Amino acid sequence: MDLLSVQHITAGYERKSVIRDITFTVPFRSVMGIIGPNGAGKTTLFRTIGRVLQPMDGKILYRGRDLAGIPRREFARKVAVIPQFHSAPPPFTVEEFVSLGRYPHRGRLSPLTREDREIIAENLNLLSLEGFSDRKVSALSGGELQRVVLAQGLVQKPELLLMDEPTAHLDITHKIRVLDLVYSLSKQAGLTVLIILHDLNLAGAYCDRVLIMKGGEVHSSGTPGSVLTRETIEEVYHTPVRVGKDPVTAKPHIYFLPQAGTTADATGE
Amino acid sequence: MNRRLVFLILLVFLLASAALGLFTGGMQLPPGEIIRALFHSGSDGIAGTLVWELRIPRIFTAGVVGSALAACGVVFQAILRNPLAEPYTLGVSGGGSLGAVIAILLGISGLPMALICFAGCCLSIGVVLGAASLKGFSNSMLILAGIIMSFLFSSVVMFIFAVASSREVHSSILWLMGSLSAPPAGSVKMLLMALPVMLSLPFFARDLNLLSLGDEHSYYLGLDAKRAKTYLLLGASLITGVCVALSGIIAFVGLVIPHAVRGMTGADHHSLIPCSMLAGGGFLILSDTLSQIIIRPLELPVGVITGMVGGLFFVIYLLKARPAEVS
Repeated sequence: MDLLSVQHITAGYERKSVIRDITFTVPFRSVMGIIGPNGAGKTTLFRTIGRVLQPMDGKILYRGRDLAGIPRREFARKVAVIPQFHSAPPPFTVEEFVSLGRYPHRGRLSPLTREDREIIAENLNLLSLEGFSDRKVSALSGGELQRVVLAQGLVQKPELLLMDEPTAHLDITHKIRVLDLVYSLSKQAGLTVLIILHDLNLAGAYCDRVLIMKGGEVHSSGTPGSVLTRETIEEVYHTPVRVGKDPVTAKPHIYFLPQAGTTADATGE
Repeated sequence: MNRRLVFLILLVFLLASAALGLFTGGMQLPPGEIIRALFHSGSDGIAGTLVWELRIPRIFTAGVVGSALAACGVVFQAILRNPLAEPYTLGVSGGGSLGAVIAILLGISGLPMALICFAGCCLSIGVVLGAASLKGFSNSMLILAGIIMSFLFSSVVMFIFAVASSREVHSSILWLMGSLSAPPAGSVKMLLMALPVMLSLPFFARDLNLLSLGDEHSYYLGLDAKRAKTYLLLGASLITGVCVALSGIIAFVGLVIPHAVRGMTGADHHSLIPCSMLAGGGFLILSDTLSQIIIRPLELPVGVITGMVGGLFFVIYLLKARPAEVS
């Protein structure tokens, strides 16, 4: 049995479907990447699994149980959803903001327990946010905010982590650190991860399986090696590429072939 | 700043304002007489009447209305995620004004007027929340519906002004500016109806914390956003309606107090709501006392004071605050 089984899902907005007949499974403890061009329906799929969007057709099973039947708070104890965080957050401190992730585990009036505080501190450390506790989230940089939002998701102590472009605003140091963290949580702590990525090379390096979406449908899925091929990428993205292999990890590596830099510029100064 | 300290300071502010309101006002009496009247509630005479029938009910009304407006301001700002939101944003004041102006036109006063006014508030709340519920309670729909209803109601009020006599227009305008001078008999009972809803607001601190992240995000954190929003918007609007019915449209308390308190406590609603209540109550009692003594023996509408003091404070606050703290 898989942790998540998406079966023939059709979903969209105002009766217009954006994604159609999507079927795939996410095995336990795997990192599954969703890639595809803009407008392919990645975020719509993400929001359907996160249950803010009702599917028009099909169903999603979580441990064999219909996702729609799971009470909201119980869902939030099992699944953490890290949305793309665009809007300006209210002026909470980092600690207050992250502690909201403990909500599904606490009663209405119960204050933060010692355990809650330990979990919060531990996750702030994991994301190298120690010392940020009293800073205002409204005054953080985009990359810092993104890590704070991820920390909020991790303190939910989920089994499944859904992330929509979690590395978009991160510099290369934090990109690698965040993905390393997520990968090790999956392999060591048993977290299952479903992650939307734009960077094909990061998807190739970190994901056990990759799902490629195009035009609201599943184009192909499988291991990075079998899916991230020149033919597939050129067909989905309409961009010429060359695909090689990383000499150490043997994971696929995609080289883009921009028009600029092919002739005169290449000779350099 | 330490939150317990902020709470204590604001509590002292509230009590001090209440004490000031008890000892000063439109009519001057020696403090000794007031204290004597206070401890002999059965005593007759001017001091007894003044303390027990005028000042204490008035301080109580001002305190509750101020607290309620401030708490509702916090609720609306959190839910609508808009720093400009206030208790009147959803058009409650528009319906209330229309009700009050109609009552004045028909020569109705006292408790029946308050009830007609409250009915007007309920009408606009019903229309706005009803319209917004068709669109999944989206914030932009709520705000737009509120603004449209305000415009509609104020056009009708303008129309009435155009055809009414100048005396009626004058008393309507005075009412619209907000006043605590003549809360109708029986008004305390109306306040007591609003009180439980108001006192329930601090228990929704966590819901408000989550809602202030936006509906979708709060949903992911396990909150039934729609249900929480419905209760809070309905509850806060009804409380606001009671306040409008009793004291007219008191400007700025619901807008300024939450911002001022947020500067001291931060955005966490666990402290923001109770502290705003204390600050709002204290501020309105103080403003009401000032309104009685500035042009003694005449009385200013309290809305004039809150608008001036609140406006000045707001300008200073906005100029001083760092951008990240304003929203």
